[in-house]
Amino acid sequence: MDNPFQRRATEFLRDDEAFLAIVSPEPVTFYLKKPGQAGRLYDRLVLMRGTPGSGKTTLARLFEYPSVGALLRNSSVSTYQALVGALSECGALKDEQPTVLGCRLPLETDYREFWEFPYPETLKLGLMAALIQARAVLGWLRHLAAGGVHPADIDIVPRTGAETIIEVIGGVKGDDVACRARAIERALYEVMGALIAPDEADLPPEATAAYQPFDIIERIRVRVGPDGKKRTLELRPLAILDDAHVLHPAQFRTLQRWLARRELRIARWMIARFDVLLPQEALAAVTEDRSEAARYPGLSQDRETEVVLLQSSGPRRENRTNFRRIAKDMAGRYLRRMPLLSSRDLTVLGDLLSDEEAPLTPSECRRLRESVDAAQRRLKVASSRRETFEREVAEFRVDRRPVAEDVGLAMVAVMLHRYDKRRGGPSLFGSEDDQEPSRPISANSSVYEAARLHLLQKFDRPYYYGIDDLCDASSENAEQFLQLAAVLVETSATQIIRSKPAYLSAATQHKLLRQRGEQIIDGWSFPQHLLVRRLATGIAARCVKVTAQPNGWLTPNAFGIRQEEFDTLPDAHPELAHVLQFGVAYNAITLVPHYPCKAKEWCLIELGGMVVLKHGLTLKRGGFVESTAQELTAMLEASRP
Amino acid sequence: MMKPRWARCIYHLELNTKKFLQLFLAEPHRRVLLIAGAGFDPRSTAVARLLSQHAGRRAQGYFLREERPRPDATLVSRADQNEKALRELIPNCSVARLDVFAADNAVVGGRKAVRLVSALALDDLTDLFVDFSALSIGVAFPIVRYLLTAAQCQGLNLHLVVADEPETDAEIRSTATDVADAIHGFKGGWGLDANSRAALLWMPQLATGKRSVLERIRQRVQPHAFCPILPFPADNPRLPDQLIEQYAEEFENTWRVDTRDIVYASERNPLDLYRTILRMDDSRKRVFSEIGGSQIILSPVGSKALAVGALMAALERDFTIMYVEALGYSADFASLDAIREDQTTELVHVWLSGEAYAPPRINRAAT
Repeated sequence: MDNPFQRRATEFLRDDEAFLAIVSPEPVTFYLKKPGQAGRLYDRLVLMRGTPGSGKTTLARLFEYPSVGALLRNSSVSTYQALVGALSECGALKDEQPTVLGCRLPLETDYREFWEFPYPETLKLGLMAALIQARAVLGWLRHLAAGGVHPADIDIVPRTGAETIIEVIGGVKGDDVACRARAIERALYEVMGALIAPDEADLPPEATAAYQPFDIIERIRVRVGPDGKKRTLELRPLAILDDAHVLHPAQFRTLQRWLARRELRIARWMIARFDVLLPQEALAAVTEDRSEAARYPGLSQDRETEVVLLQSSGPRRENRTNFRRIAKDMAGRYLRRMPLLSSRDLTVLGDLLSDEEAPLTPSECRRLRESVDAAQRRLKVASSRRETFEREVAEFRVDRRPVAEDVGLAMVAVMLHRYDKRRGGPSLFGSEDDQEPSRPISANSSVYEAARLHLLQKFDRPYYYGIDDLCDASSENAEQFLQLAAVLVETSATQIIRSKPAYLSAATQHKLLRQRGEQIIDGWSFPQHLLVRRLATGIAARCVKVTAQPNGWLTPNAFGIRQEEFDTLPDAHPELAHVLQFGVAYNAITLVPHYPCKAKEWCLIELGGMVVLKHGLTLKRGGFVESTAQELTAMLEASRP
Repeated sequence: MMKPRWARCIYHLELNTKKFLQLFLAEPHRRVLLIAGAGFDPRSTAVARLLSQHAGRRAQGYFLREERPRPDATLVSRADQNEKALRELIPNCSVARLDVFAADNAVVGGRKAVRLVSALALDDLTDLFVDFSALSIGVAFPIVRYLLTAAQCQGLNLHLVVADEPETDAEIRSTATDVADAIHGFKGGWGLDANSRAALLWMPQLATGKRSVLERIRQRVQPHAFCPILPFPADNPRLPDQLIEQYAEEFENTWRVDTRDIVYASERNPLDLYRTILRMDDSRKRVFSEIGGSQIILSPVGSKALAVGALMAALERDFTIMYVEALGYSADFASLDAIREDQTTELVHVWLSGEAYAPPRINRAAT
């Protein structure tokens, strides 16, 4: 059975309609609406950064001309209308006509090769820039041709003052420009692919010739429509340089600087993960909502670049809520591609995931009650006090519903231990002396959460279930969400085939999600993954230990180190900074900077969803164990082979 | 349809390799350069030992020690032992350290290896041997491509030798990078605008433990069609079935392989795969010539002997070879040693270029 959840969105790239059917308009609106409406997406360099699977390539692909064309062809179909609206809000469409001619250039590794050449840096940049430009030009023209535009109907509109040098790019006619670009590409390809780089003097003339279409082209004018009814469109070329993190960091900066020049008239986006940055920049990029460490003479960051972070930063609650919306929308689109489910009108993932609790078995419940009784005896808590706690628990409501019996018992156990702590130990006057605690103890959400986690740790009582938990466990990463959802959808489909109900019990969801989380971690193989895994495991182990404290005073899923210490990491602990950089880049951890707590400022190193699932920690944010850079470094040292 | 360059190829398998090398190297005018890996791989010294035995002082060595970030201490120690053994076997040798990765984790091993080998003086030699056994394909393939041209220009014999032990390969686990890319010198027109409409056929060589690597390559290639290569005949006759079982999800869900698409190639005979690939290329070229052409992408991630077959096909037709470089290796040497105790090293030899194919050119230095 084909499960679309198991395929990355980018795998649908070949067929525009199939691709558009699974793209949610939510991220487009969330990330690009504001800069698009302000016109900042097309008049300056846009830097998009995100973790793998955060939807960078999907966004880029959406702005490519063939997608825009397919969208407009199907604009009357209700599924696509939201996307048309989202692209219009971003300024890519106006009056149901495209305004940009987007072309995605995966930088992958070809361009990195130039850095290895024994040439001066200016020449290396020149060769790389020429190849990028030639391929962008070819991409634009190829997309127009695929959209049915005849080469004779394409004209280049040079920017003012560049008319005299238009011959450098082959002229103004589409065919001539393509011919020139093809020759340049071929010459550069041969240089790039040569086993041994040719001497500088032996470089072919096409490779070193002045070829600067980005400096010359302002618009591409096309005549579209049937003969006799042709209309003219003026499109702003958009070069989307995807996977720019593959470039050498210095090469990345040079290219960034080159693209940030104000005289360029074409729109240009650079999309990258965090790997390309130096640790101090990568960490700064996620610890400051709008940060660009690089400063260049004559360039002011705000005016020359627009930074879009496609991952958690800024207002966290808003991000989580927004991601839940995106994920649910995306899941609906994927479910519609599964006939087995869609034919039964099962196109809402939440409907497949039961959120009914799975209580302990009667024997487990009896064991739990005995342990609570034993705790009461050991702590010498008066019966009247326990009765008060039990009354409080009985009155406590979650979503207007009383808590289950087992959770209630676990809550009482937590409250007994909190009481013991706050009264300063058992009374000298026997167990029926009902002392008053220093602070009142109430059955609240913190006690409830601690109780559920204790039940998870002691009895493996299902904790992760329901659509919201699924979304939260994905660390706001679309690909991780799909990977987790895939296993649930697959199981649901299997149940349908076996004539069973499609919905999955809490116990099944919990088991599948934890298994999947572990599998994903086992499959990590990114740079520094061993050290990242050790670090994450070390943090998780301490969080588990703290969570298991009987008074449930804290349910952490993060380490917190003081912000001022964190700021010095790249210099004081460069290796740790490097590991953290990759941990962040690959969703193993999330940094929450400037987190206020106890009148101090902290930087939280929060565990990613997969680590949380594997180790059985809370999905709720904010709880952290105080730590130091030394402790984290020691975790790395302990792991050294 | 062009006649394959190595339609009539001199090659030897298993015991015949040793017999051939014994006779061939006994010729007193042979002056031999062995290029091999000086790594942790237990097969590192097998070919050097043979050359030392039969060519004695007429053999020179150039050993590449592939360096990867943060190697395991056991691997380093094993590599040290192998390097020492190689130096003892072929005293007239040099060892070069080769960083496979740049500081930013970009793969640069192939390019650097060619740079190192291109600096070698080949003037007073008659035969070049490249031992694949302990070299990664990202390093060995570019070297062979370079040496093939150099050997043809200078009238030298070029031989490929590999100690093929699929069980040893299976015991060595690798941690791959997350970037799939063409091997240096084997881009084969990948990414060129001229090939943008070509029908892409991906021929991955299936091997145990390579699922994630092949998945990465597939995501990069996004082929139109798949023809997975299975080793058959193989030492373990059930291996193809086991591999199909391991890759069942890919076969059914992502690759959607029809049973007629599977390519069976002899595990030990590189020529079998070489000829099959060329036949397929001939057929596809005919079919797709009018609609954008055909492009074949190879990914030889399994047995080294089969990788030699893929290399020969790529050398001849300029196919793209996509792979994922290993960031590091790990191995359980106790079980590896136990496996190797139970088996003899089987050598595969392919005479790639030189006097076997054309009248020998007189080497100035040799006269």
